[in-house]
Amino acid sequence: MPETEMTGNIFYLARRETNVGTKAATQAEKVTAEALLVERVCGGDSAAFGELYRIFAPLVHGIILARVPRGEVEDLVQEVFLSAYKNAASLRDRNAVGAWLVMIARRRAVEFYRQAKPTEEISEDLSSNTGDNTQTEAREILAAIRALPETYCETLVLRLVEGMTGQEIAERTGLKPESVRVNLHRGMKLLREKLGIEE
Amino acid sequence: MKGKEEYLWSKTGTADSEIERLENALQVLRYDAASNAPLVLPAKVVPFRKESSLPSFSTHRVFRRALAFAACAAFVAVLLGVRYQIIPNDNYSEIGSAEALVVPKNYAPFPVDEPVINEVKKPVIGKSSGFTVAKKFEYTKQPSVRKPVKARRVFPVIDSKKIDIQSKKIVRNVEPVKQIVKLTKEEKYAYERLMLALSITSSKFKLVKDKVEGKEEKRAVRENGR
Repeated sequence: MPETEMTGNIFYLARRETNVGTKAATQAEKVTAEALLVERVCGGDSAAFGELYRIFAPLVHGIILARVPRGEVEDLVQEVFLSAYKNAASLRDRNAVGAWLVMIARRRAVEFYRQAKPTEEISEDLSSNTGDNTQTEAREILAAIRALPETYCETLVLRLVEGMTGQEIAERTGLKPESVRVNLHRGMKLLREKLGIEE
Repeated sequence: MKGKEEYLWSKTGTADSEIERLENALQVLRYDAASNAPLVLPAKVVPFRKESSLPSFSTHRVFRRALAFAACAAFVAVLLGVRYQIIPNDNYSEIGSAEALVVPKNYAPFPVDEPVINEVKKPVIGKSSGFTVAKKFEYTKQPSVRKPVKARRVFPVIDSKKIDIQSKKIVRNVEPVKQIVKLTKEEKYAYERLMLALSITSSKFKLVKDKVEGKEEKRAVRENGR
């Protein structure tokens, strides 16, 4: 191997390690910041909780939207955060606040269906007659996404509805980035098949 | 293709028109902080705070420890119970002498031998208790007289008709069982008498036989010759 090429490789590796290190450090700082927020919430700081709400509300919204009718989502988001506020001290790993909120949101969605009286979900479609075509299309796509397996459904809602990147989804839900990437690609493939879109 | 994958992952690279279309369509469902009502925390809700002085036990851990402690206590209790049940109380005489033996009124301790009980005055504990406290029991046992037991002799009844060759073989192989019969004095005496009578009778018979055969004379000549 020529010397110049070797030198280039070394520089490449060094640069890559520096990038990875910087990224990891940034992530650690961010996680620490969230953990600090939780600490402050445990101390009764409502402003810190407001900050936590601002960061994680889209995540919780997406998780609940993947399961529950749209009209109920807002209330359930509020309930999830209220429950989190009450039980903030029971969170052992302060860095895993995102995964903890996701867990609460999933449980709350299940409870919603358990407590709800058996009704047919027609209100959304009927009310959409008054709206424009964009909303109708959105609801159709959302219905197609909800029909997918749960893992793909959540990831796609967070990506397409909430507009989060794969990295953000991984960081906030506590999933591995590789898993999120796989879920995104497989879910997207299934969604294309459902909607009849050719790649 | 790779650029489209990258766009799905991080919204960078070559934009995928289909994904863009889906994003635009679904944007109406997106969480909007401005339109959504901000979270209002009720004044009554106070976040649960851990006491810093207390160790950070979860309910599961506390429950487990309590369960383990209860199990240990139960085990020790069982051990103690077993120990005091198994080991007999050797201090009976001491307790008896300490006037602590409680006996019911109609209690008959040894109904078989009917011992003579020299009963000491029994102080009554309470009127309604129905129990008396015996100071001491003295049992003077009468010497038991052994009644003579008649031993039965078993004589096998042999039916000669039923005995065939095979059974004879079996009988030969079987060793005769020696019956040890214990005789009373009377029986022994009778037995001796009978044996004496038989021996006398047999000697008499022998004399008669010798006389008949003429042996008596020969014997007398022989004795005289010596």
